[in-house]
Amino acid sequence: METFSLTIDGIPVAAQHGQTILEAARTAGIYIPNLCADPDLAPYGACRLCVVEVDGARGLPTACSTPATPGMVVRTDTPNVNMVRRGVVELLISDHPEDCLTCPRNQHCELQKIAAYVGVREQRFRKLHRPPIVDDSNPFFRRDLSKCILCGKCVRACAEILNVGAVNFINRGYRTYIGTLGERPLVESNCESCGLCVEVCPTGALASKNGKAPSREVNTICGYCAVGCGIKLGVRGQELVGSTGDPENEVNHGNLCVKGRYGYGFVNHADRLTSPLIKKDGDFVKASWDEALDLIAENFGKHRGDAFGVLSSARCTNEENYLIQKFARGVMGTNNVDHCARL
Amino acid sequence: MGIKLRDVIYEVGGGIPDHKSFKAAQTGGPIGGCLPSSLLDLPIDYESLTQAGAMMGSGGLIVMDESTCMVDVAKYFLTFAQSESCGKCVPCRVGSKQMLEIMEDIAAGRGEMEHLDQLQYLSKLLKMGSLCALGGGTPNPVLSTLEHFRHEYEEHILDKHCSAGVCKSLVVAPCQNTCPLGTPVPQYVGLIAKGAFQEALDLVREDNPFPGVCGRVCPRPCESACRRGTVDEPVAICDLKRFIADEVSLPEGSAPVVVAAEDLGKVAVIGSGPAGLTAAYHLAKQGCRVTVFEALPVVGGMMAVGIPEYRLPREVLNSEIRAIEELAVQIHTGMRIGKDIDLDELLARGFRAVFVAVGAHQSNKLGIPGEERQGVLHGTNFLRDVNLNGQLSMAGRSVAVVGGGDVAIDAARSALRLAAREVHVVYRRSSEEMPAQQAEIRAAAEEGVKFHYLAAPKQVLGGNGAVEGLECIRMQLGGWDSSGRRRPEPVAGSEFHLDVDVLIPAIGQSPDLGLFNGNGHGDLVNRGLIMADRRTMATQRPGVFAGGDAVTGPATVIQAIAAGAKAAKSMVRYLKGEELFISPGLPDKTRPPEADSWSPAEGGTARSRMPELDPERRKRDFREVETGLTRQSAVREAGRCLRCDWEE
Ligand SMILES: Cc1cc2nc3c(=O)[nH]c(=O)nc-3n(C[C@H](O)[C@H](O)[C@H](O)COP(=O)(O)OP(=O)(O)OC[C@H]3O[C@@H](n4cnc5c(N)ncnc54)[C@H](O)[C@@H]3O)c2cc1C
Ligand code: SF4
Ligand code: SF4
Ligand code: SF4
Ligand code: SF4
Repeated sequence: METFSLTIDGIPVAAQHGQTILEAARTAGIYIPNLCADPDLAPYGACRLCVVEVDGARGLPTACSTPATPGMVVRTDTPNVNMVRRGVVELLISDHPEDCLTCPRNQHCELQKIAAYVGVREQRFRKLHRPPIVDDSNPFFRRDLSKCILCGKCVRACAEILNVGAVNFINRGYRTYIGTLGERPLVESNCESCGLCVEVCPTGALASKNGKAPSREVNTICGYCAVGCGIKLGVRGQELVGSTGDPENEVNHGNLCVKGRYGYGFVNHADRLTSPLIKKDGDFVKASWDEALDLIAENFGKHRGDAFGVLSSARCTNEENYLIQKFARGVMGTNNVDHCARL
Repeated sequence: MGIKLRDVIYEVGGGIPDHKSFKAAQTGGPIGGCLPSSLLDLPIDYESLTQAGAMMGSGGLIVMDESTCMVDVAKYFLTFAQSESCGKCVPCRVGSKQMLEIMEDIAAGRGEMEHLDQLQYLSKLLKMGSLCALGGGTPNPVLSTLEHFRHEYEEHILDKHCSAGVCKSLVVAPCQNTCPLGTPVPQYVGLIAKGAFQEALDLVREDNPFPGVCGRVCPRPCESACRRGTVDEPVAICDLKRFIADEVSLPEGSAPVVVAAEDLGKVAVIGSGPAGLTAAYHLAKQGCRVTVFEALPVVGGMMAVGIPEYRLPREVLNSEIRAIEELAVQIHTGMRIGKDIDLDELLARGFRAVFVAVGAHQSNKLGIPGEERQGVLHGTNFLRDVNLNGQLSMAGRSVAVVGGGDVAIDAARSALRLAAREVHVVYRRSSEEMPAQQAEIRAAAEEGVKFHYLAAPKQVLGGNGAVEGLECIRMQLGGWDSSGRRRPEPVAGSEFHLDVDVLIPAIGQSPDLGLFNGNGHGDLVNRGLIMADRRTMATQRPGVFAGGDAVTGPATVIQAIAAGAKAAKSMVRYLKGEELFISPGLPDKTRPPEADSWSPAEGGTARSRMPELDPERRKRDFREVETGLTRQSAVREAGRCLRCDWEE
């Protein structure tokens, strides 16, 4: 692809056609604060934090929506730019609850990060209070609209990436909030609980109900279906505490469905079977693997041929499925092999 | 390029109805801007409007008169624009909400001066940072009113007062709100209705030592605002004040005035007009030893040497002055500061503070040939002579008075009473625009004064020194000026002669600043008026305060009284070493139980008429024309009050 050069804050930066100023800056490692921009979403221009000055242009264009052009001279740190940025952050803080310490987004909150970047030290405006609309209906995540900054990322991700469109803006002006069609609870809407919105939300307005932060992450492939999404499992001690899509993975680009994102609860579930059980005198009794496998082998031998059938699982790998059909045909002598995904 | 704003308002739109004056015009709808009268000549085109902070838009042209509160207007437009915000970008969504909250606070009397800086900052933020033109335009009404009507914002914040009477939390009742002194009208009218005349007078006298004077000469701004006027006719507030002042004789009848025990030391008051004497009254009550210096041989300022006796009998004035003297206020007549003793000398002689209230006594000149002739008597000089020299006569003379204010009408009616053969009043505009009180004009006409409207003097005629006639020229009304009145222009070749031998110009007065005696006081004077802070009446000089006509130019008795009261308040603070200005609290609007039993006289109940002497009889001497309400009609009149202060 053809590249050209522009100047950002006096630094020559290489950019490609079709890139915005924000993208060019990001590639060059220059931080321009923003809250509503997302590389996977169309430019939106609402938070006004990425305003810059461009020589020869009127006013303060937003870096997220202005295409970079050859020879462009961009300034990201002028008195006017800083005035707007500071003002916007102060306004956002003015109607935001002050409970960072107990907020699920604490320390990885974009709003916190930008307030720190801009250096807001005093609260000039009066505190405004928006009605705390909390939607607790979804089993996996919670919505607290008093922390919503109306960046619209959830709305846009749900519509642009998933084509679901479960949430949208309701009302206008200061009364605007994010809600579902007919303002029903999320579970009663067409929300698929995929959790993408939670992933993109810059604040604690959308947060997973699992409150534990992982101490390490393990890259793996989601075991639920044959798509094979890349996931990062969050682990803390011996416990699986979270799962996020792997943005580097070519299969899913970071997206997940509800099962991949939230369906890990069985792993550490108390009812999960961790050893074989054998029924003795009407009760299941714990047994060793050797004991159990011997019992199976003994009984399988009594049912060879077409009396026998094998059902495999979509959650198994290709190799496991190959082995199961080999076992059915070669060992058990039957062609009765099938798979749950066909049922 | 475009048509002028003035022409649209006056020529196309027919001007401001009900004789009200133009205040501002909003162009471009709710996100346009407000243009004040100083911008009436603005051409209506895109560039000019944008430059003036307004907008060219389809929102129409909203023209506002004096009964509009600019804080309320800006709040109204902001509410509208704010509800139109789409809510997408932060500056518009949250910024306009913040602005609206501030505006609501200011209108409710909860404003702070720093709010004005916040409004400026937020406006800039919305303008520079909003996503679209709606957000960028939302601050326009606030910005433009802040620029052109900042004093109204300050009035709401500092004085807790809304001149237009619109912002409810700041207004007790329209009448009280309009009175320069804030006289508690509904309360005293209510007391009169109950027959509690003395309590009513005591209440008025708490602030105003001149109820008898005001009850006779006040131009009654309260009555123009009175809400009863929207039902039938305004309550006769002023006549009622006169009634209680007449009913209770001073000082015996009135409750003894309480004087503070504290001694705040010696203070001086220069000028014994209503401003000076009111200040003296309050200063004395608060424990100052007050000395009043008066240049003339009589006490009372224009109340004694301007306003004629047939409107204000001297015994009424004098009894009210005596009641002030009862408070150990010393009045030295015949002492002209600047001549007999210097201002600086006063301060050196141990007066800890001085209130300068020297009025406006120098008549303005017509500036026409022949004005220096004998027989040209300037209005206030003539009236002073009438008052101080009992021998004056105009028998057989024919008099022309030039001007249209109270002084002109008083001069004309006084000349008539001094046996003048004929009295003419020459006024350059039309009768409707005459600033004198309408009742006065009517009374003068009844007595036979001849009015020549749309006429102006051109030269004084005559041979050897005396006046032998006045050449006038007819005027026609031309374009509109910034006061919303049409400018009179001479009609070429329309000269005519008035056969008169006395000419009394009465076209306004200016203060005589002789008291400053030349040098060293430049910091106190601007354009012929003494400069004083409108809230504290303090001048640039520590300890020197000023108020009344000398500060405002010719105004009214009640304005002078209000200035005196304000000055006394801040002088006491000065003497105690306190902050000169402290914002008053918000009016207490709790409804007392008795409010439920108040039922005002039915709509259509006519206002009590002030009885007056027959024109033919009265015009021969200086007897008081108006004779006062009877007890019965006063009580009945008081029952017409709607008690707006008790409005739910
Ligand atoms: C003819 C006429 C009619 C009016 N009619 C009305 C009316 O109907 N209703 C109304 O409300 N208002 C009326 N007014 C206006 C009203 O009288 C004045 O606005 C008011 O009196 C101003 O009060 P003041 O105390 O500021 O000044 P003044 O009343 O003018 O008093 C100032 C005093 O200071 C004295 N003085 C001046 N210089 C010195 C000095 N160097 N040393 C010592 N003393 C000094 C003067 O002699 C004077 O006594 C009228 C005015 C005039 C002239
Ligand atoms: S969303 Fe961010 S800024 Fe808001 S409370 Fe949570 S951590 Fe703090
Ligand atoms: S969970 Fe997924 S489907 Fe539901 S609202 Fe969020 S993005 Fe849309
Ligand atoms: S919920 Fe989160 S992502 Fe959605 S608009 Fe609010 S802050 Fe943005
Ligand atoms: S009706 Fe009474 S309270 Fe209301 S404005 Fe008139 S005098 Fe004042």
